[in-house]
Amino acid sequence: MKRFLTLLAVLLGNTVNADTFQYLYIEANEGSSSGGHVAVQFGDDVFHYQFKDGLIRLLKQDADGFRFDYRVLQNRTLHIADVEVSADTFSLLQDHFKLIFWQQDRQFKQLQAAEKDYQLLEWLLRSHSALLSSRQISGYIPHPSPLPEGEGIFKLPGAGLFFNDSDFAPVGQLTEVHGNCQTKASAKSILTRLHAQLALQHGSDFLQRRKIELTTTIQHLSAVINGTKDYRLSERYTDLLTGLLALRVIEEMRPLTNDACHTLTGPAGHLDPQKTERLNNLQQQLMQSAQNLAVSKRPDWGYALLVTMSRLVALQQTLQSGQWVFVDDFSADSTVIAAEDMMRFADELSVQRKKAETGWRQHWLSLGNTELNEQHYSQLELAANRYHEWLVSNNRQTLRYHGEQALPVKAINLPTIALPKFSSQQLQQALDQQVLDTQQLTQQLEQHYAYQLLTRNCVTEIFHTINQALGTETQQRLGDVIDEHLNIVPFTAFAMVKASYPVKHITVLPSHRQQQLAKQYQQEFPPLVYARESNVVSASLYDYNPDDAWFVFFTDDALLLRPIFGAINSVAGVGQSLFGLVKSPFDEGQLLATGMRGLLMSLPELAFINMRKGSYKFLSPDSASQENLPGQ
Amino acid sequence: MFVLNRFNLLIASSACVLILNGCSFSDSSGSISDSIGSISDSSSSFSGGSAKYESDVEDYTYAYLKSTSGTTNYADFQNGLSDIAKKRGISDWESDDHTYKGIGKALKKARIEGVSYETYKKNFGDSNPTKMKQIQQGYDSQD
Repeated sequence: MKRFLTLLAVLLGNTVNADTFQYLYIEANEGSSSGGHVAVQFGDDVFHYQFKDGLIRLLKQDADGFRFDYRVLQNRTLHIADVEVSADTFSLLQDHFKLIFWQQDRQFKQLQAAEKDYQLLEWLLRSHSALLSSRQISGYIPHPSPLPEGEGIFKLPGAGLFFNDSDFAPVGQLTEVHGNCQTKASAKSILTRLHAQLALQHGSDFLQRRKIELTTTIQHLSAVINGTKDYRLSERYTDLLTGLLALRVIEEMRPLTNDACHTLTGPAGHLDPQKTERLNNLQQQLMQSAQNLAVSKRPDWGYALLVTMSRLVALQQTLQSGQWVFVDDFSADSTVIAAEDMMRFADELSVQRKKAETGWRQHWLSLGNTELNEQHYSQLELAANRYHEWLVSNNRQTLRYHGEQALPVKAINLPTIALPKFSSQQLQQALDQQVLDTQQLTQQLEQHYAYQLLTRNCVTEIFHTINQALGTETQQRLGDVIDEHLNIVPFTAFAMVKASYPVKHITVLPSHRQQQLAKQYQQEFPPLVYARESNVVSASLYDYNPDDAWFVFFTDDALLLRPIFGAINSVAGVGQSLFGLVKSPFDEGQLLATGMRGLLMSLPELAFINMRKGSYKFLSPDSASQENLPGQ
Repeated sequence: MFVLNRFNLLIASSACVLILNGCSFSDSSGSISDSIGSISDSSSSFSGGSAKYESDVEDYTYAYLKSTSGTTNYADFQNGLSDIAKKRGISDWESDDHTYKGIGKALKKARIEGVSYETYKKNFGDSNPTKMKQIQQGYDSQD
């Protein structure tokens, strides 16, 4: 009775100047968040806690993206509770989630940077004696010790737009990079202009002075951290090196590397006088940006200058040739779809291809309507890259699917063109300090964010953050306090939200398969639909996704038959496990692990509990319509 | 009977572990934001993009102000701004009005006033009159 009265008071109080946030419960499925998941949504932003490397951290995601991920690709049903609160309460909650997100983001970045420092110092120490002797050789300084692979610290993002690794390799190790990006004339033309502008503003020896300044700063970098924990040695060093390379691009009027750009040929994208004018205006803007960046005090000005110059060159080439030229904006670790998958998922992929073509067409058609700025151009570049990737995938038989970046990031390995002057004693001292520092940061993060199955998971942390945001006023503002220590399971926590918070409305967004199934039931003979769609062999709504473990029957809509179907699914899991066991010497046990996971996911089905629902790999967001199940 | 009980127990335990294991695995199967087939393709989203960028700058700056005691490390702060701008396709964030308006809004939200505010404005704006004016505009817009 007391709870009812409190809720009533909250509801009545909230009617004036009310606002609504959403509490989302996402049903279980195989794979990530296998036991279900929870999130909260404020406006367009969804906040949820996810596990990674033993820690649980808050993520912020665009609401459309979140729903597409979970509802369509992961094929899970979403239950959404609209919680009506006062505008003031809404702001308190939203601000607190944002605050926690950004504070965590910074803490995790600090640890990442500390680890990079360690790698750099360790490599410098290992290479120290060899580096000293190589300094005696004029010109190129070889890597005395192999650079560890796969470490971000040993890459310079942006530098790969104008340099290849072979530019810094010994003559015998030169390798030719293939590609059709030929921008020599355009680069010369536009970079000469930039060079002239800089000379006019800052003197004819500007580049030389700036290079000396950067080289000297690198040489005098301090290995010991003292009061500058937030802008670390590895960041400073790579920022300075990138700056040096950016200046070299201007000095040498370097063209883009052979694989750094591409041309969109054909009638699409015709440049009329109006569009040409827009591009000319944008080029002027970017030219001004390049001049500003060359003297900027921001730490990463070198990367920004490289990106700006690459776009200036691409624009110049476009204006000179009358055909669109864009810088390649895919990262080196982009997900690539192999020919086999392209054939298997041809239908889904053809929808995306059409969408990419339409997207590109819309972008360049709308060019005439609005003045371009850098952000607009980034969108245009993304659309063009996406479309171009589909075009070339025909011949290449592979497709870069994920990995486009809003700013190009093409990188090269760290070139040792300038090195800090550290003694081995300084390096050892700094390394020892760094070990302690990294340990301290790791301990701090573990103390605050270590994942605990029963005491610190995605559910507990959402309630903890809500309670923390509202403090002693939680009950007054939300009607009740949900104890984060007692509500640890996604499913039961949602029931608790419904019972405790001022929930105005519940919406159920069915999973992609359920949504499509409902349409088929309306259009066809239901028993036939059920028989056909109940299993993966005859289903029209599901093509086997290699990310899913083997299974035969869908059990999410088969309550009575669930144990029988589950038994058959378990047998499929055992079969895949055995097959995986045989194959394990060749795939490092991946198939075996998938089979075991499948078996584990099928066991609950024997007890009428459904978890596995199948998932989709290549559907486009258009597949997710706004159709909901009736509210409860 | 004993076998059946053990079997039920096994199933129940498996179910419990899996259900409790919510959110214990990371990385969804592919974010909309980085999928070649699914990036927002509407030109009308351009203006939304700028507003979101400004909002991110505001939130980031606010969090930075709240969690930094003593001297502000501007290089570290600027690196964070670069990361935000990079995601929105902006390399030259120093020339973008929204950067400084966002900073101004955050200063207001953090209730920084008087001499403190003037110092932050000068430092964040790099003593540049245009940038400082934009910070002021952001600050005043929060009244």
